[in-house]
Formats: sequence, structure tokens, C-alpha cells
Amino acid sequence: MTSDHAQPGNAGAEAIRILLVEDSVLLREGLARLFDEAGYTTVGAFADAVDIVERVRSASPDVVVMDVRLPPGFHDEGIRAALELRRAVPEVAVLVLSQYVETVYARELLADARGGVGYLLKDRVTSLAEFTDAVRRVRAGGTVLDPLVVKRLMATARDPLAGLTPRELEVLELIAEGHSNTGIAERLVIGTGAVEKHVSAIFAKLGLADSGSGNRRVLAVLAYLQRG
Amino acid sequence: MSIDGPAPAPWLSRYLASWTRVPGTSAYLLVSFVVSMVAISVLSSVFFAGLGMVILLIGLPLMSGSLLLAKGLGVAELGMLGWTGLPRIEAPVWPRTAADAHWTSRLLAPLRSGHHWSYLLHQMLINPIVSTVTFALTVTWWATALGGLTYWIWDVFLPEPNVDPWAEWLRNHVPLLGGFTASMAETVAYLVAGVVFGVTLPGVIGGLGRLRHAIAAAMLGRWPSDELAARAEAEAQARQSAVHAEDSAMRRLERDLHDGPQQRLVRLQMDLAATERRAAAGDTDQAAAYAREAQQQAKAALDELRALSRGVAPPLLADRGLVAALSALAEESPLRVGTDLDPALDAAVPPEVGRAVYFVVAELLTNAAKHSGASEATVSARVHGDDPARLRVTASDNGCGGAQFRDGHGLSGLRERLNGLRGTLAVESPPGGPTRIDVVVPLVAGVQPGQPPSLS
Repeated sequence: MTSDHAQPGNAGAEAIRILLVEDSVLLREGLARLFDEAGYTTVGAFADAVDIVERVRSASPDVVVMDVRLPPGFHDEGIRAALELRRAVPEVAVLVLSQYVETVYARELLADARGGVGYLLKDRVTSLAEFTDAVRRVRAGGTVLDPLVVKRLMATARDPLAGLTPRELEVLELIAEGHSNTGIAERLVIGTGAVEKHVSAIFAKLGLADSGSGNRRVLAVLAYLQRG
Repeated sequence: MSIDGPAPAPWLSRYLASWTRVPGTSAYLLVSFVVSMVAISVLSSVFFAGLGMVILLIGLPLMSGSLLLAKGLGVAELGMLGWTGLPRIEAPVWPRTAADAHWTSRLLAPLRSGHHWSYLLHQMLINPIVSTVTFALTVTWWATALGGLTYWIWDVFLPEPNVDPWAEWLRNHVPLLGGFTASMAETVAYLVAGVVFGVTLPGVIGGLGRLRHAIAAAMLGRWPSDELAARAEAEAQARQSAVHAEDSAMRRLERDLHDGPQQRLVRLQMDLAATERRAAAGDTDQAAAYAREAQQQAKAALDELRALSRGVAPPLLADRGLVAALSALAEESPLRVGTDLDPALDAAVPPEVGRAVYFVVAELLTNAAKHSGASEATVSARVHGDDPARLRVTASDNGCGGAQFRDGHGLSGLRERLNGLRGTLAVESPPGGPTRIDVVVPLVAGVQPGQPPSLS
């Protein structure tokens, strides 16, 4: 379903500026290589999130790629830094990468409902196409959530989803991950018209108003899944 | 005893209540006297016979036998003391001889035990004296109370009315008895004595019982050194549990690592080597196919490692503490879970306790969701600040029960882990439900090996 031979980066169109915060040298190098391959410009690479707002202001990246466990405490410094960035420099998108995903963190990152934020497992980075897609979407103000987080949210949402057909559930998962109707159509290999039909059926069954923009849809679905 | 009208005054109800113990205590005071008389005669004959024959060596087993006999009689005494309704006296920790000890050392073991000698002293010397005195007083009080109160009935049946001189004196000197005959004065005096002894009967009998109880507690009960020994034993058991729990956890982790990620990485290495060979041979299609396979192996290895590290130390617990981790557990459960979490938990609970508690709750919720058919569960965790501070966690569901301890499995491993932390795990899960789990863990900061925590 994913093709790693997708045109890497379209370097000519625009060089996306990335600032990287990752404490492991091994992964920092790997990610820098990946950014290079994608045609991004790495404007800074740091091992911790100290003074992150100043650093971001002076380097003015488009996207900050942030690890969660960082020195000095190796707890959730990355999440806190990401939230700080959302408040201080909302125009910069933040993509949080982590070895594990927690629904609590996902909720905190999405709480301000402004989009431009993503939360992915580090594993996803191995696929260049998936990664560049995520960067493109958060940069455009969208929301990207790891499928694992979405699965967990879906697993805990009880009875409300009982009325959905398996196909609708699939579509709902993809909406929650942050995909547009076109993206969903590509992934499920069906027409956009069919996707639109599924989407309106889902929103009708869940009693949600379908607000057009991709980001609002994601937030509506998540708000729905997280309640109760 | 209850009469219509206002409730009796507190002193009165206390007094009436003290009568309830009179029959049992009296029976004890009377019966134990008989037993103690038998005890002294048997014990002294055996003991002194043994003492006299010590030189012939045969005396030693005889003395040892008398000590064992004293132990039996002492235990019987403790049993009879139960009739008094006073608090039970714990029997001491009897010294144990190793099962493989030589038979002579087992035979003579009582001679080296302080408790045995204390029992002998109690049964042969102290108890016969004290029980004689208490027996006499018991009989006196009962006899005077019963006899005095009923004298006026049976007085007339006495063969010849025989008026003691003291009655005559009483009649002449007590103004109230002025118009009475000497025999009437005697009847009144007996009645008064009967009333006085009857009223004081519960106090006297109770006091005698308490005296015997106190002596028995000192001589037949536990000594401070026993408490220390018991603590040391509990400590050793806790350590044993901790070691065992850790050992089995390590073994499981090793097995999981070996069966999962390790195999994956070996395979990954093989795939990468094959990719390299294909690429060197210029077969790019095959090389790409191998590389894709290699990626899948790496991804699977990562998934397995993530699951394993979650099982060792849940990330959220490490990042945010127990309150956040338990809330997330509750939230991620397919059940509706109500939580009541003390905000003081994070500061008060050390990480190892937090982990154990986390897994207990996780286990309950998983079990409830998978097997019990429950729809709801509650989790509460509180810190009790009394000395010593304790963490108490209760979790319950409304399912069909049947949670069990199976060796090396879920709950049983968790119980061991908690025991290692000197905590307890109680599970109540009758068929038909509901399941209730109650965890109590002492929160003792920095316990040193030579400094056991107080037992409570």
C-alpha cells in the first residue's frame, strides 16, 4: 500500500525546514539522513529541549520533529516542549516521534484544537513516503495520529461504534489518523464518491456535524471517541 | 435485662455486663485448680525423679519429658483461660529442631528452651499456689453470696436453732436491730453479707481471672524475643518472595526476548546479508524484496520489544507517575471504570510499589474485561498516613467472579511481588461475582536489612 519509491521530496518545489530534537545520536544521524533524502533542510539538531522556544524562533523551521524522552529527566520533556511550542509559536508545526504512544499524550497534543501537530511511532519513519506525507500534512495545519493510538481509542470506545459497518469503521480509523477523503480513497482503493458516502453515514450515525476541513473532522472524531 | 423506660445509667449497664463473664471465669477458677493439683503431683514426681537420676543419664530424658508435659498442661491452661472471655494469649514460638537432627538432640531439645522451663516453673510452683488462693476466694465468695441470701429459708430446718454469741452482741449494739431477737439479727446479718458478697461477686471473680490471666501471659505467652524472631521470619519470607518473584520475572523476560525479538533480529541479519548478495549480483528486484522483508522483521521486533518494555515498566508510569498511569488504565479499559485516586500517591509511593500496584490493577481490569463479563469496575487508591504509612488499593468489578491464583500466573506472581514489598493481596471472587481485590502495602522509606519495619 505504501510505495517507498515515491518522488523523494520534490526538492525543487520548496525546501521544508526542519528542526530536530532527539537525544540518541544513532537516531539523530538516521533522521538527518532521512530528511536529506526527502529533500528537507535541517536547520538545527539538538539533544534536549532546553530553551526550545528561543531555538525555534532563531532557526525558524517549518516543522519541529521532537522526541518524547529527553534529558535531563527522561520523562515526558518532549511532550511538554511540544505544548510550549504550540502556545508560543503556533505557526510552527510539531511532529512528535516516540518509541511508544500514549493516548494521554495524544489528547494533550490535540487539546488546543488548532492542528499542525502530529504524534507518531518512530517505526513509521522507516517508510519515506509515510513520513513525508505526515510532515506535509502537519505543515498544512492538519493532524496526524499514529494508527496505534487510534486503534486504542477505538478499542475503548464501547457501544457507540456498534452501529457502524466494518467498512465504516475502517474509514473512521483513517479519518482519526488524519487522512483526507482522497487519501482514504487511495488507501482503500475505492472511489472518492464512495468515501464521501461512508463519511456522511458515519457522521450521521455518531451524531457529529461534518465540518469540511480535514483537521476539524479529526478533532470531532477524537472528541467523540474520548468522551465517556 | 431490658426494661421499658429510660436506658439504664452507663455504670449500671457496665455492671450488668460484667455478670456475663462470671460463669465462665468461675468455671475456669474452679476447674483449673483441680488440674493444677494434678499437674503439680505428676510434674514433680517425674521432674524430681529425673533430677535425682541425672548422674545415671536416664534422668535427662525424664526431665525433658516433664518439660514436655508442662508444655502440654500450660497449653491446656491457656485453652481454659479462653472461658474467661479475656483476650487470647498467643502461645510462644516453640523452638524447632531440624528434621535431620540426631535423635538425642531432639529428645533433649526442651532442656535448652527457655519457654519450656518457664512453663514448668508456672505449672509446678506458681500456678499451684496462685490457683489454690484463687480457688479458695472463689468458693468463699460464691458460698457466702448464695448461703447468705438464702439463710432465711433453710435456717429453720437446722436441727437446733443455735444462736451464736456474736448475734447476741449485734442485737445489743446495733440500734436498728433493737427490737429483734438474736436469731432474727443473725438472719439479717447473713442477708446483708449475702448481698455484699453477691454484689461484689463479678468484680472479685473478674479480678481473680485477670490476675491468673496476667501471670499466664507473662509465663506462658510470647516474649519480646519471640516478637523479634517472628519479625525476622516475616522479613526473611518477604525477602524470599521478592527474590523468587524477581527470579521468575527475569526468566520470563529472558524467554520472551529469546522467542521474540532475538529471533527476529537473527532473521533480519540473514535478510540483510541476502539483500547485499542480491544487490552485488545486480538483481535489484530481488534485493528490494529482501529489503522489504527485512523491514518487516525489524518492525515486528520493535513491536515485540515495545510490548515487553510495557510489561516491565509502563512508560506512562515512569513518565507521569501512578495517578496518571492508573487513570490511563481506567480510561483505556473497555469497561466503564470509576476511579478514586489520592493525589498524594505520586509523592508517597516508591516506584517499585507503584509498578506492582499498576500491574495488579491492570490484571484485574484485563481479567474483568476478558473473562468476567463485567460492564463496570472501580479502582480506588489511598495513602493512609497513620504509623506506619500504608497504601491501600481496592479494585472491584461487577462481573461473574472466579478470579484465581494459579502458580506462576497473573495474580499469583503479583501476590508474590507484593509480599516481597511486605504487602498483601487479597482476592475475593466467588463464583457469580463480584470480584474484589484489596492490596495493602506499607510505605516504609529505606528499610535496612537489620531494621525490620513494625508489624501491624
